[in-house]
Amino acid sequence: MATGELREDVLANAECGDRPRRAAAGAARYLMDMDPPGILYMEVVRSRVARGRLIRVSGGITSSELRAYLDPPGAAVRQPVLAEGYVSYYGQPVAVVYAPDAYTARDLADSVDVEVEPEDPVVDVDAAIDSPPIHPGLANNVAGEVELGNGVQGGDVIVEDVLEMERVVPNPLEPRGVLAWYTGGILNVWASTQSVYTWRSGISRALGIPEDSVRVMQVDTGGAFGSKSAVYPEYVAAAYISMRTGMPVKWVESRDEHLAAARPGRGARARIALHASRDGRVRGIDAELTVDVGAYADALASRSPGWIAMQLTGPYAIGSARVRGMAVYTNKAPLGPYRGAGRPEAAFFIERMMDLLADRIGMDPVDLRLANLPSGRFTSPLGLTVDPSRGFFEEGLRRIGYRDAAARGSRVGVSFAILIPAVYGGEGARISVDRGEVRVWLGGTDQGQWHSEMARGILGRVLGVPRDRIRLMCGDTAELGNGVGTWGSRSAITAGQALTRAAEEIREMAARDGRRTPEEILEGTYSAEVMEDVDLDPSMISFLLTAAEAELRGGVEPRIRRVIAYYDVGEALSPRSIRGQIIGGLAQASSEVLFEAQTYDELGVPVADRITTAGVPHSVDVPAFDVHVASSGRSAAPHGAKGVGEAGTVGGPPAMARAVELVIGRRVNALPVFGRILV
Amino acid sequence: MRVGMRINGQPYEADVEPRTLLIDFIRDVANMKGTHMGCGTGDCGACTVLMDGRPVKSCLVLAAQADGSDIVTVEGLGGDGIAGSVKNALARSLQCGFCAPGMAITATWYLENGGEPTEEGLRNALSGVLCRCTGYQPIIEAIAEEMDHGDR
Repeated sequence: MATGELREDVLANAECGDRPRRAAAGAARYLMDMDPPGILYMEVVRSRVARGRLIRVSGGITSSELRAYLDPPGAAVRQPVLAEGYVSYYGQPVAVVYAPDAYTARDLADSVDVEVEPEDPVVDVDAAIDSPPIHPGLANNVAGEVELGNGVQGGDVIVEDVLEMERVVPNPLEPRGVLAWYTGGILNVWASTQSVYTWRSGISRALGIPEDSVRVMQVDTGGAFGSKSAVYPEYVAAAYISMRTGMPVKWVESRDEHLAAARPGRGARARIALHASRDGRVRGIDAELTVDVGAYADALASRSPGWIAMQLTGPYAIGSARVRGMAVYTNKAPLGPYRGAGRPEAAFFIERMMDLLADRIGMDPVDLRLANLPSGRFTSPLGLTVDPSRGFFEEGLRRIGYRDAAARGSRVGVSFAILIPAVYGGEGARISVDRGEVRVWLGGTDQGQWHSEMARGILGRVLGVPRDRIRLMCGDTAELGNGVGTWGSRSAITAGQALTRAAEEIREMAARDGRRTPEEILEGTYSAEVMEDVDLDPSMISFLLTAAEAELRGGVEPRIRRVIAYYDVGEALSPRSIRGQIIGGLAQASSEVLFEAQTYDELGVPVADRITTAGVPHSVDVPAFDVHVASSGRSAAPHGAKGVGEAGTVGGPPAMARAVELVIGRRVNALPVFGRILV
Repeated sequence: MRVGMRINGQPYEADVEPRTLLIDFIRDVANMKGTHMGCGTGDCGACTVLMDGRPVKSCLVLAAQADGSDIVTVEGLGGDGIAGSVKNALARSLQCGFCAPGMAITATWYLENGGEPTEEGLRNALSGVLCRCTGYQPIIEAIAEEMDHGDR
């Protein structure tokens, strides 16, 4: 650990648990709060056109000096850290500058002239399919293609529609940021991040330096929602400047940089035909999916059509299917994950079609859904295996009083959905018991999910140690060498399992020393580190029942008034944080349904340049939430938990869209409603 | 230019550029990092401080405009009374914590100036502070509960 020259106060922010208490006292430490002596501030010079040939850049560090790429050699298209020869999206980094104070760095960036010969950008995804490729060397703009299914066997009724979800910018309140400090042969990187491990591998690969020469340390992280999982060009550039100067280099984005150049999510469209029999049983689904991946696509983006396609049958027993999917390059910011990452798209697409089918054959939409649930474990022709869920949904409908409300004539939108956790890769965990204190490191870092509560719940059960002795430490590749990250509703299952195993090891070690009570265990010195593989089991897939009511404010403006969620979390590890995750996700869903989006004009320039015009909702914009933390049974994980982080953004939109549809009297097949259905 | 002000009761004075923002004076001159820059356009409210007793968004105020004024930041809120109740409520309802300074200053100011700790009153009072994590309801419920306990 090469920390010789680092001032202690820079490294002292090692605890990432209990952040709200520290923040409420003004004592949390976010990336922007770190200013070690000698610091240099980096600013980024960005393209102000969506597409063009780069003629000349008048200053700063450009690709002629820093020739580095985010994608590995051999990828069809490699995203350069700094634009090389041409620019392919508005906001793309072209050059970087640095200075000892932030104002001067901004002046320097403003002084750099970027001469570009503009070219017609490819903005519309339909046009992109037939347009010449946006990158030289490609045959077309297809970044990925997939075909799944066994062919469609129809019924007597066919309903068809085209459904769309606009791009949404994650917009955590804390912007992205990095502090890099190359000292003693080690590149120290402080990160506002979902994973110190993706940063370690991504930065070392881009700069061509060994992984063991990069140490990544999480600091208090102010939300992420997918936007802080990948390695971005700016992180590599800051690391490079620190290696060149030997000084600490900080970059924190402004909000307009986030809106233009951080990776937005969604941006998906589906043309779907449901084939059903007259009793409402869906016999087949025929779909074409198109995902707008923007100018560059990592594996997650290029494979997103297949991921959406796989879960398109939701909780239902639909026996025949044919889905074709395409990921398409356009001259927009590269696509990334946004809370749910494919799951909300699949849920919106199938659930909106179920409502359409119910309306067509004159059947209650809830009865139609119940009639399509499997009676036993079901494997779809698209490769998804789900457990039977009728008992869960029927119980939920009773608990939320759906039948009574429907009998009273209330116009309630209802959705059934599944939440598939991203357990792939498993997770790492480390526990250290020393001097009466239990410290915990998890491979998946906390950005506000209250992992500290989960850790206290698990350690309380396995070791019986009191809550106030347990501290959740910030992610650090030097303290826990192997891990994965926080995304995809995975932490309760994967980090929970790893932590359970590590705690069991501590318990066994202590028992061998004759220490069995919590007090005795705390008197010892123990350390356990595990890396747990986790395989997806159908029992880990959560079921989500959402009901929503809307109204017309002032007789004209649709508003979502109330949302009731009955969500399956398996064994509940910490009910308060679970409830927080569900409400937070539902609030994001409510704005995504009504008004939240990033759109682009015909020149490919992003329209939203403020956090509010992008649609992040105010307190007075969100509905009232009524959350039931429920269980359809334990998952196959040793502690029985299921995922929850994305439940609200997956389950919420279809029910809310239906509720809006019922009050405006027009089909809602595109989100957000304002801008797509209403103007 | 020479600019001076009291921040949480302590005097600070410095030579700054005319364009220096109040938030940068607080964070860099007074070295108090509890006030956060979330958007720079006055939308998110994470930079809210009290200036001569009134809430302002410190990313929209020049340090020069605050010359000679009395500033209270989140670090300056006490641990007792209404401020203490608000901070206790935030400690158990926030998620990422980044909006904490705006929530703490705004809710405390509202309640100390006679605002009712009702759902509707708090929801309106906090409408100038964005929170991306919580959906607001847990914050509003927690503040109302803490105020209810404080009265008894």
